[in-house]
Amino acid sequence: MRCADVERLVTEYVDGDLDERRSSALRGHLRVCAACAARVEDEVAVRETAGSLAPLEPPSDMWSAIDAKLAEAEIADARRSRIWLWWQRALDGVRRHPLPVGLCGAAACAVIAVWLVRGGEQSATHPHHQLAEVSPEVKPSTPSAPVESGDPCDTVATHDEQTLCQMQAADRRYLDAIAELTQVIAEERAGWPAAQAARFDAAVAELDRAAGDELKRLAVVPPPPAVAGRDPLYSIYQKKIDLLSRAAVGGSP
Amino acid sequence: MRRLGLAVLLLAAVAGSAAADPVVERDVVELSPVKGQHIGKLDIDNRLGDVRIEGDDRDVISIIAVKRAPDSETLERLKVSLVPDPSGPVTISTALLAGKEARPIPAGSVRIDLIIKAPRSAAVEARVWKGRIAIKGLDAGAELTAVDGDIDVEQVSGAVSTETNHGSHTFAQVFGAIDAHATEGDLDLDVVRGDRLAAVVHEGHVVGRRLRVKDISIRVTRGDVDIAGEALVGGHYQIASYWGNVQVRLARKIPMRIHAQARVGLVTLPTRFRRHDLDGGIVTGDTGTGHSPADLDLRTRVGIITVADF
Repeated sequence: MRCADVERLVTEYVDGDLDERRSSALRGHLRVCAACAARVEDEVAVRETAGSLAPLEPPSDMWSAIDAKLAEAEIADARRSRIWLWWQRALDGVRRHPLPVGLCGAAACAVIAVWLVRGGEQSATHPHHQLAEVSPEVKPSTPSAPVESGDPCDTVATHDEQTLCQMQAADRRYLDAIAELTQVIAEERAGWPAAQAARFDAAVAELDRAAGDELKRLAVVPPPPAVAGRDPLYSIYQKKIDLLSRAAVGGSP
Repeated sequence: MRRLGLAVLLLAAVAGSAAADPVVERDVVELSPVKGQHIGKLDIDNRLGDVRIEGDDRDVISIIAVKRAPDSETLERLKVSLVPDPSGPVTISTALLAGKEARPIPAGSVRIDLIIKAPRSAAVEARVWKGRIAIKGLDAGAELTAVDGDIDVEQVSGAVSTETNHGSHTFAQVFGAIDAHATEGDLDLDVVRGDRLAAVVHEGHVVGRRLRVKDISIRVTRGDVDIAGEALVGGHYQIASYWGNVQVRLARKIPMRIHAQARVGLVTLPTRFRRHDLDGGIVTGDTGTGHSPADLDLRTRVGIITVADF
């Protein structure tokens, strides 16, 4: 045993967690090494001093504060996206099965390396592809394309196409909200009284019928798209969101 | 000859650049009511741009219409109509008329923005498609709808109803009832006084400061709610977020009853409340004595409820 081994094992030794064979070897080293003996004596003295101190009572609000922080952290985790959950699951899988995952990763790296090498060879045999990419003669096909704003409807070519795209985006936002609230209600309604659930279902069915009629009317309207024509439909969607929100969020169907 | 050639080239370049620039026109119209009558309501429908309305002390409507188009032919097709009805509202609407040729208009190249001054006493109804609505200095309320755009309401009295599918709402110095709906967008309230504030937001945060309202009902599906203001005697305050925190900061210490439920989360109350913890994350509490305590009903499915004094 060397001094470095003593440094590594001293805590376990003082705690009494070191097995008998290594304890015997460590004691043997201490007999011949004054520095390590002093190091172990120091460690023992620290432990004894710490053990003799009176227990420290935490402030009464410490646990509630910890609990609040913990709840905040857990709620923040609960709000994370599904991608985050999948990523955590993947990391968990790596931790549990490091060898198979490591082998798969190495194989994937090898495949990528081969693909890159072969791709490089192919581009070397077809130099005109590379020339075309850097040639100053190449110009964008749509020189008057609108500035990127992040709105997909800004990338279409004509006013009518843009209006149609905006209508579809608005429809999608309403319908996504309705779908999300409907899903929430499916989880919550188990505790509703039967009469209230029936009244709620009837009100939803009435709005669905009205939306269906409106969609039929809009289906036969000739182009170009007229945005004002969608006012009645959006009014119905908004009423439905209000109804669903009252039941799902407000807790009163 | 060489100079002539250069001049022709220069002219062609100028003409070319002029053709590429959008054409902008600014029209100004003023309308006075028939003697003995006043303008009681303004109905604005502009699906081609923004609308800004400012209250004015004169009983006159003035409209500035700024039109933009890729060329003068298309500009001619952009129309603003003003229809005064002696017995009803003044209607202002915009339109892109059908063209004679089938040439398509480039996306984003046509627009009409309206800047309107109207009598303060006129009620306003305005609708835009993809644009912003801003109103200021009006005394008879408003009904505003923007499918994709923000709504700003400032220094307005009366009942105000707003709706956006995608866009934020801002209310500043509003004295009256507010009814706001947003599918996606935040709601910001500062200095609001009135009998009623109702808001339904599907995805977005609600922040309120200096509120003094008798009845508040705020429901958010995904987003936090942070409200600061005075609770009033006999007031009802229902604030709920399905997926978000609810924070209420109260300025006045009046008798109050609280029913709070955080199914996955915590409820924090000031120490002056007598607190009772029940099953299902429900906490009830009350403070003070007296008739007509203010009722607070606070809910969240996943989040933290905090009631604090300030």
